[in-house]
Amino acid sequence: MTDILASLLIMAGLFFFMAGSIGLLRFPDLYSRLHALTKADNLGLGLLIIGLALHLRDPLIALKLLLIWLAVLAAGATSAHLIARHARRREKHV
Amino acid sequence: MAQRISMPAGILARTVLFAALWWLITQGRADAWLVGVPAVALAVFASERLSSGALPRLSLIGLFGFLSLFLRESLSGGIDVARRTLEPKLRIAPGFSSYRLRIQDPRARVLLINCIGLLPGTLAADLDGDFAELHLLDADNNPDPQIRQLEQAIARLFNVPLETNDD
Repeated sequence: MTDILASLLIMAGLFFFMAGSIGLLRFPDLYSRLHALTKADNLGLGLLIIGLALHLRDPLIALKLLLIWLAVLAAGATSAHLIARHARRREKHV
Repeated sequence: MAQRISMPAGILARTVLFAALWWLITQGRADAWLVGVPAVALAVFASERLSSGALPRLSLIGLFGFLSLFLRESLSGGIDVARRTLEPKLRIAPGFSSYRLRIQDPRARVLLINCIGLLPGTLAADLDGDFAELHLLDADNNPDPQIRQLEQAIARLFNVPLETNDD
């Protein structure tokens, strides 16, 4: 039962990664692409990690996975902001 | 009723924090401390040098409030953007808007700026004084109420006041 739930969560996570990548290809400009990547990947990785934690059933590994999620979140959100800021400032100075 | 956990300040607290993280990352392997001790020492040194003052005092109740809002918004932000990318006709109307930050604490501001990017449809593109420049996936929607809500949750988390005068 838990494994079925874990598989569903992992598949849902992969679905959001795919949606983010499609957004990266389909969205028209740099900022919109950043939206697709950061938000979809955040949710995708979160679901993936909950699924993996359920599957592995080890509280220490679950904590470690949570830590990975937080690190990816912090890195992703910060780099998205920095890329957007760089692009925006350059646009304004042209 | 502000229940607080006071994050202990100083080198000892940082050492304990980073040692715990290392222990978690290496799953408690004893031989990993050969690398871990210098790594923890460098991390303590770097964080003492880079951070502004003591570790923030976080409110426990504020933390629960912030986390529940954060998780809910992450979910709806991800679903919203996934729906927009997968629909046959792209339903986006990108544009910019400006939001005046009410929160003053610099660390709280960093958290807010980063979290805005996870709310549905918003991304903080730049910060100019008290004004955050937002990129909106759908410029027809006013993003201010949801950001205000997030800002309030972060203010409670950090136990800092929000500037209240609206103009």
